[in-house]
Amino acid sequence: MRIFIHGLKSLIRRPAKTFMLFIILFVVFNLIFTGFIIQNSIKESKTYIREQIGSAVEYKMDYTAAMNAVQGGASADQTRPPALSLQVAEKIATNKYVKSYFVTESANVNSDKITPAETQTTGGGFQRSFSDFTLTGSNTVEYRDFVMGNTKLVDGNMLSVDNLNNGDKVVLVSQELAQTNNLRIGDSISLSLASERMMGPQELNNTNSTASTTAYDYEIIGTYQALKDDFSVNTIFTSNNVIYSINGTSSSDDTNASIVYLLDSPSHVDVFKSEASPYLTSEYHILSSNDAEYESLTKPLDLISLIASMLIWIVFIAGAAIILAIVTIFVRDRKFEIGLLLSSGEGKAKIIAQFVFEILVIAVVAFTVSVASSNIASKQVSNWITGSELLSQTSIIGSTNNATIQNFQPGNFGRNTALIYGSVDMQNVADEFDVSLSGTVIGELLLASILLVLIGSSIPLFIIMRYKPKRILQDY
Amino acid sequence: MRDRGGVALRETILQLENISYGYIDGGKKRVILNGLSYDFEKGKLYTILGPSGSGKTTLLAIACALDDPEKGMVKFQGKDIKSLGYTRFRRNNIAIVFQKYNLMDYLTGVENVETDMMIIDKKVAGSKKELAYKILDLVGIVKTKADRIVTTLSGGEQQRIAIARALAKDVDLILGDEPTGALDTATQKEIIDLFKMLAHEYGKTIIIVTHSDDVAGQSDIILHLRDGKLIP
Repeated sequence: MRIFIHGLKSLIRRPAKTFMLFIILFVVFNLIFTGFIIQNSIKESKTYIREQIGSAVEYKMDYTAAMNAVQGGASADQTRPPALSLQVAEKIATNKYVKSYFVTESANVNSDKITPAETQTTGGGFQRSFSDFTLTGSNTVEYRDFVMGNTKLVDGNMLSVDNLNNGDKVVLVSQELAQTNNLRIGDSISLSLASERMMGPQELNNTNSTASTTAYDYEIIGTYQALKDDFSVNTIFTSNNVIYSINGTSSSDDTNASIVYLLDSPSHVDVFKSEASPYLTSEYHILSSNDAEYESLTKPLDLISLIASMLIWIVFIAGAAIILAIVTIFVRDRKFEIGLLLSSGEGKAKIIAQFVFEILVIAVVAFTVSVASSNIASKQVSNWITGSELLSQTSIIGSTNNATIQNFQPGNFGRNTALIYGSVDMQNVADEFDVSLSGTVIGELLLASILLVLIGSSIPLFIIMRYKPKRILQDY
Repeated sequence: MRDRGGVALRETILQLENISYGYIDGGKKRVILNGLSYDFEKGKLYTILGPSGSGKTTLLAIACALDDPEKGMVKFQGKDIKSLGYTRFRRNNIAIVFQKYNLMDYLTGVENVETDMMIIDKKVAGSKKELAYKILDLVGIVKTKADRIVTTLSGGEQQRIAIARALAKDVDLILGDEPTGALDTATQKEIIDLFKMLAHEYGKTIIIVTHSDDVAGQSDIILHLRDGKLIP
C-alpha cells in the first residue's frame, strides 16, 4: 500500500519531474507507434494483395528460364521444356495445403452447324487464331472456372462423375452461344478438332498423335453465364476424357493441360511451393503463384515498411537510452529518500517497486495519449502514402485490363492468368490501407512500451540494489 | 522488571560485545573501535561524546545495523541482531534520528510519521493518521503544521517530526546521530527535554551521539569514546 500511496504522491507533488518524463515517453512512444501502425497497415495491405491474387498455384512450363538458357547459348533442342506430367501433378496434389486441384485439358474445335457468339474478350489466348471454340475439360466435377467464380451454371446440370469417368460426350455452353444458335438443353452440337491446332509442347513432341478431325455430336446438358469480361463465351465445357479421346492421348502421362492447385489459404502459398518443388522433374517446370505481380505490387510497400522498421528500432534504442539517463538522474536525485527508507527497514524490492510503479503510471498516461496522437500522425502518413505515386505507379501492373497483357508473356502460353489468379486493383489497396488501431495492435504497442520502459529503467533500478544505507546517509 | 521486594531491576536492552572496527587510511590500518563492550539499559538517555573521527557515527551505525563490525557482536534483548536480520531489526526494533531530520521532502509532517507505521510489520490498531496526529501533538507539532509539506517548516519543527517518526514505530530503542546539531540552543533544549520525557515516562532507551557538552550534561549517562572504547 505504501508503494502506491507514496508513488502517486511523488508524481503529483513533483510535477516538473513527472512532466519531463511524460514528455520524453510521449515523444518516444509517438515515433514508435507511428512506425508500428504503418508497418502493421502495410502487413495487412500485403495480406489483402495476397488474398486478392488468391491461393492458386499453377504447375506449368517455365518459358522464361528456357529463353534465358537460349540467350545464354544453349540450343533450342536443349532448352525445349518437356511436357508436364500428370503423375507429378497428382503427387503434388497430395500436399496437405491443397484444397482442390484442377487438370484442365483443352482443344480448339470448329463446327459447321453453329456459329460462335460475339465476344468482347481477347481471352483464350491463341484460340481465336485457330478455331471458333475451345473445348475445355476437367478432371473433377468441380470445374475450375466455376470454383474460381469465372462462370456460374444458370440452367441444366453440371457433368456428373459418371459423365467424367465414361467420357460421355456431354457439354455446357454459354448463354450467349445458346442464344446465338437458338440452342436448348438436350440439343446436340457437332464439333470437330480444328485442323490448324495450336502447337503446344505436347504436340511438338508428339508427332505421332492419333488426333482426328472427325466431327462428333455433343449433347448440351447445361448452360452457364460468364461472370468475367475476360472469359470467352465460346468456351464449351466437357470432361478431360473427351479431350483425351478426340486428341488421341488417353494413355499418355504427358499433358499440355493447365494444372492449378487451389490451397486452403493464401498464406500457405510459399510453404506449399517449397514442399512441392522437389517433385518437379524438369528445370523448365515451375510452380507459379503469380509472384512477379505480388512482388511488383508489394515492393513500394516493403520499402515503406523497411523505413518504418528502421524508425522503430532507432527510436526504440535511442528512447531506451534517454529513459535510462533520465531515470538514473531521478534515482540519484532521490538517493536520500532511498537511504531513509532503507534505514527504516524498508526492503529494497519495495523501493524498486515504488519507482517502477511511478514510471509505469507515467508510461500508461503517455501510452494512452500517444495511441490517440500517433493514430492521427499515422493517418497523415497514410494519406501521403495513398496519395503519392507509391501506390498509383503499380496500379498499371495490377489492373484487370493489364492481366491480358501478361497472358502473352512467356510462361503464360495462351492462358488468361487473370482467370486463375485474382486481379488486384491498387485503388482498392489504397482504400484498404487502413491505419485504424485494432485491439491486437494496441496490445502489441502496450507490450513494446512496457518493454521499452523496463529496459530503460532496469539499470538505474538495479543500482538501488547496490545502495548501502550507511553510505547514502553519510553522503548527506 | 522488579524483584520480589519491589526494587526495579536493571533491564539491558542493547549489548555491544567486544566490537572492533577499522579502515585503511594511507596504506595503514586505522583502528577506531577496539574491543568495545557496553550494556545499555532500558528507560535511560545516554550520550556518547568524542572528538571528530573518534568513531562515534561508526559505533552508532553498527548499533543500528547499518554497518557490520569486523569483530564482536551486537545483541538486542539478548539476541544477536545478525540472527534477527539487519533489515528486519531496523524495521521493527529501532528508530534512528539523524542530524538532517530524515524526512521525505514531498510528504507532509503527518504523512512522514505515517510512513514508518506502514513499514513496520506490526499492525497499527485504528487509524494511522489519527495516531500520527497524536504523536505529533506529543512532540509539539499542531495539526495545521502537521499537514504542511515538511520543507515549509522550521528546522526545529522538522526535527520534532523526525522524532515523531521514531515514536511512530513504537520501539524501545531510539538512536540519534547529532539530532540537535543543526538546531539553535533553545530548540536544542526542547528536543533534549523531549528525549528525557520519552526515556523516563515511556521507558524508551535513547542513545545520542553528540559533540555538545551541554546536550551531554542533560543526559542520564555520559559515555566517552576514547581509544576505541566507551568510558563512563
